[in-house]
Amino acid sequence: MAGRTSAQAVQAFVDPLQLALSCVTDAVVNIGGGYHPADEPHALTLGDGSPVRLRGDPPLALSVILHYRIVRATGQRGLWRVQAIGYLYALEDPDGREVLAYHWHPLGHSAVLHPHLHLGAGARVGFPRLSDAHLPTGWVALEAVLRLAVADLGVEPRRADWDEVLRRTQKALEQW
Amino acid sequence: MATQTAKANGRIRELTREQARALLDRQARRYLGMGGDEFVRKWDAGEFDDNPDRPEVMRVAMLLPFGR
Repeated sequence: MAGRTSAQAVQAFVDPLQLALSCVTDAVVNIGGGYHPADEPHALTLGDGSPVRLRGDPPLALSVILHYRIVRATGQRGLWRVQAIGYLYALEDPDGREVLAYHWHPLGHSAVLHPHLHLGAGARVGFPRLSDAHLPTGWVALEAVLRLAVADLGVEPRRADWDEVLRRTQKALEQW
Repeated sequence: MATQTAKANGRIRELTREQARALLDRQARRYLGMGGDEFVRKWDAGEFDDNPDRPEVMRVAMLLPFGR
């Protein structure tokens, strides 16, 4: 997402995310001052970082954390754009046990640099090693996880046009 | 950019530096039973490197930019 200023680029990046999230929650994205280019990644989170309870049966809870960096838009002098450089999308069951978590943390201390999926205790997986495994996924859009939550995991959408909204915001993100 | 209180523009909430650090602190206490400053110190010292992928560690580690 690009903007004439770095702040505009961040806004252009966050707005579709907030719109996508509005399909399942009224919780707001929090940013900790990440509007300027920096060597260290910036982060945003849904709500205050605690899992946000969603409507549905069972009532799952959603956590979203994204890392991003602000860089010059290639070939467009004077423009800035935002690159997503890491994420955590997780769904918990009503007892607070993680069901599934999509991770991408190439800049941390983990040896696992590729995007992957964890099946947590809430998934009730019977194969012991699978609960610690890093299942490779390729890069996963937040919209895909929200769509999974609504279409397959019983989460009630908060807006009737959720399908179109998620399609639109994911398409906009993938253009970058 | 920073203000005394968090401001919400209807779409995002911009935290002050203090509020961002408090967010990290809160989640570090929730998931790991330690404060945010302690987590940052231990993380930078590599004390979680035996298994940084533990869900509770990763949740807090991903919030590190709020505390730096």
